Amino acid sequence: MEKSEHILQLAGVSKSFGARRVVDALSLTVLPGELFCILGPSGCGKTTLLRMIAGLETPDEGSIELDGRLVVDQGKPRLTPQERVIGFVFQDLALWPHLTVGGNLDFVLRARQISRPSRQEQIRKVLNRVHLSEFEGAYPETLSGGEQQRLAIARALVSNPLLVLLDEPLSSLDYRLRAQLQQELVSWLREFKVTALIVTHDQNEAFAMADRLAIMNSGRLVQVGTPEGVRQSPSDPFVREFLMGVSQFSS
Amino acid sequence: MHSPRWLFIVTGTFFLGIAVLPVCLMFLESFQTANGFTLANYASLLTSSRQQELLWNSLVLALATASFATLLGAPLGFFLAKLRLPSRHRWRLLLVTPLLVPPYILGIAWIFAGGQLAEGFARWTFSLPGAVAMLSLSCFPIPMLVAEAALSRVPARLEEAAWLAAGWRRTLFSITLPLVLPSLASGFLLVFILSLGDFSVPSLLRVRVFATEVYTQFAAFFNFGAATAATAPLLLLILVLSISVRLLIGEKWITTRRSPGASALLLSEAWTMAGMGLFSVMILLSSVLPLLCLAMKVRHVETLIRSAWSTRDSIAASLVLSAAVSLLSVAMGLLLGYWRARTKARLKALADVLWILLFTLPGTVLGIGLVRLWNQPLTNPLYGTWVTLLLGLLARFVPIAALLLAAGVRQMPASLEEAALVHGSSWWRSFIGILVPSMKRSLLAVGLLVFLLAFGELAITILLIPVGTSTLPLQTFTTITNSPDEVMAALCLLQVLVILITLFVIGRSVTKSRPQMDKLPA
Repeated sequence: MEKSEHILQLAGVSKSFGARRVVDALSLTVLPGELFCILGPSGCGKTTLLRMIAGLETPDEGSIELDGRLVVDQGKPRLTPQERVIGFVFQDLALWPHLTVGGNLDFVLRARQISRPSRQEQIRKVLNRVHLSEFEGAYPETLSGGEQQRLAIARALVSNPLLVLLDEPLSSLDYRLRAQLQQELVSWLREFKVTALIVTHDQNEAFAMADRLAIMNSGRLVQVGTPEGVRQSPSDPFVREFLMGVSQFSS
Repeated sequence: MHSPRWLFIVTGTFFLGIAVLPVCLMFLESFQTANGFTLANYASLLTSSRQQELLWNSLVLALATASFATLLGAPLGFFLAKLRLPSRHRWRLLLVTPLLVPPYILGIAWIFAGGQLAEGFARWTFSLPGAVAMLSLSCFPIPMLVAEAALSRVPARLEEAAWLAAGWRRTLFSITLPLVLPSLASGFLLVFILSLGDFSVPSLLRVRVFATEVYTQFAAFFNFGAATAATAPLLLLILVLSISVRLLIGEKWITTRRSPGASALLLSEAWTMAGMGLFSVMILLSSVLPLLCLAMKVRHVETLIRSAWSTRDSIAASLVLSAAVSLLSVAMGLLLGYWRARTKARLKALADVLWILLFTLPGTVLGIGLVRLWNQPLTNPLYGTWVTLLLGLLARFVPIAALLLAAGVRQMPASLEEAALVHGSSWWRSFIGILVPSMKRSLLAVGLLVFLLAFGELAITILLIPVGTSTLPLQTFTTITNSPDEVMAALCLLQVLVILITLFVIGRSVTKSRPQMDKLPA
């Protein structure tokens, strides 16, 4: 089978909780190596979308294809979350409090059945990259907010996943720290050559980081394009209004 | 917060007087003889082979009961927390029932069953293993509830994050279990302490342990020194264990709040069936079969009615007494718990240990301390009246009420009351108008629990009851040897009926809708 052109493809994916349709017949293609941002107000279905890609929720309808493998087929899951080889940075980080910094990374690698020496090498490499080497034996609760954030990112990257999903990855940080970590995050993602799907409600963040982005509202993607493209020609009144803040800010 | 300090000082002092003072008195007394200070009472503990047998029996009973109860209860708690169950609260209520029925009633039922089944089984029930089996079947809800509460508190994200990398088995064993281990250990310890101090089952099955020895020394030989010395090692052991429980649980006393997000370990339909099967087996073994045994023994409704009529005074006394104890315990427990939850004083950890200690102290031990306290020239007018018994039961049940209600108050954000104070309300108005209504369900649940525990109480009652009167459990217990089986069974069944009626009338309103505090924003 030839290498697929896209790393992730969603076709007609829908999800309802009770009577509320959270994601509505959504289709999306993410290309290998790109940083794709989904930008939208809170409650628009962004997080549910990520959880369906990861396999933590099952779509009611639609298909999801990951690196040429059909992971969800017409609303029926074909692969477990574990088999999808995905990295995930949760909004609340979800660091395991009873494991050390090294232990948090090791848990992920051990599940991938990697030998002990190469696990250690990989852990050292990633921790070094995110400036946490000296904390390998520390417990997450002893780290500062920024350090915890970097650990969560390291855990998502450590097993060389096909795709990393980031749910509001910088929202828990204060403004200065956020600006700094944003640049670092982009450089790490490029360096590890992973494809990233980032969900955020922060327009500055999305426009600064994304290769391509999509504006999401009420469970649908309203517009998809490059940051410049979207900014210069907003497709409808919602996008125009939503972007008001950022266009004034950056122009 | 401008709370009236005198209120807490008065309540606290009263509590210290009726509950802590007797224990201290007794402890001091164990060092005394007619000639002054002595360690003789303790020396005999170490040297006498009789005492060593008691120690051995007590420890084996407690250790085995705690182990079996945890092995039974923890998986049930896991299923309660992790399955997508229809009517979860109804299963929980059915599973908790054996904890609320006094263990000696289950014991009597099993003895009847043994009598009908086989000679060997009947003989086996009158042994240490028999006592372990009966206590395990009545204590397993404790580790079950503790495990369920702990598992529901594990944030779903932690499991989901693991689930992305590993299968559910590794997630369960490497992430979930280590996180709930301290709680499981505390549940184990609680059962250990409670079965160490249980008086009724060993005494029913004629297994000699410390808790029964205390009573024998006191009631048969009226030997205070020996009775208190027999309690001293228990007292020390329970003190150490109470501190351990406090350290393990820390500030996280049984909170009912579930963590945000649905549980990550989505067990399949097959598991739901397996879980419900397990629930049914346990309910059958621990509640339905014993009840059937009793009912078969009674046979005619007429026997039941006749027994009820002839014991109507005891039934009335039990109901009134338990209701009074329940009301007063909730009132005092709320004040003490409020102080515990809102104070910044260092004393709060000590208060926790004290409450765990007093609740888990064997009833006979506390009872003898209480006799010592009330049988003095100064307090003698009260001794042997219902007042002494009421105060004795308060000493037993205020601690558990305070412990649980402190946890309840801690879940209420202080800002709710602060908002009332800032907007011109007095402390009393914010306490009565804001805090109490928003804790309605916790108060009702604790009141129900204390009512049921007080209704089945035996050890303190037997020591402090006014001469010539009786409660229903006491009547049951004292007629064991000289009544026909069907009368015994009828008395047991009456007790169970009262318990079940209370449980399903009041318990429904407690568990039916979710606690108020769940409605608060996170």
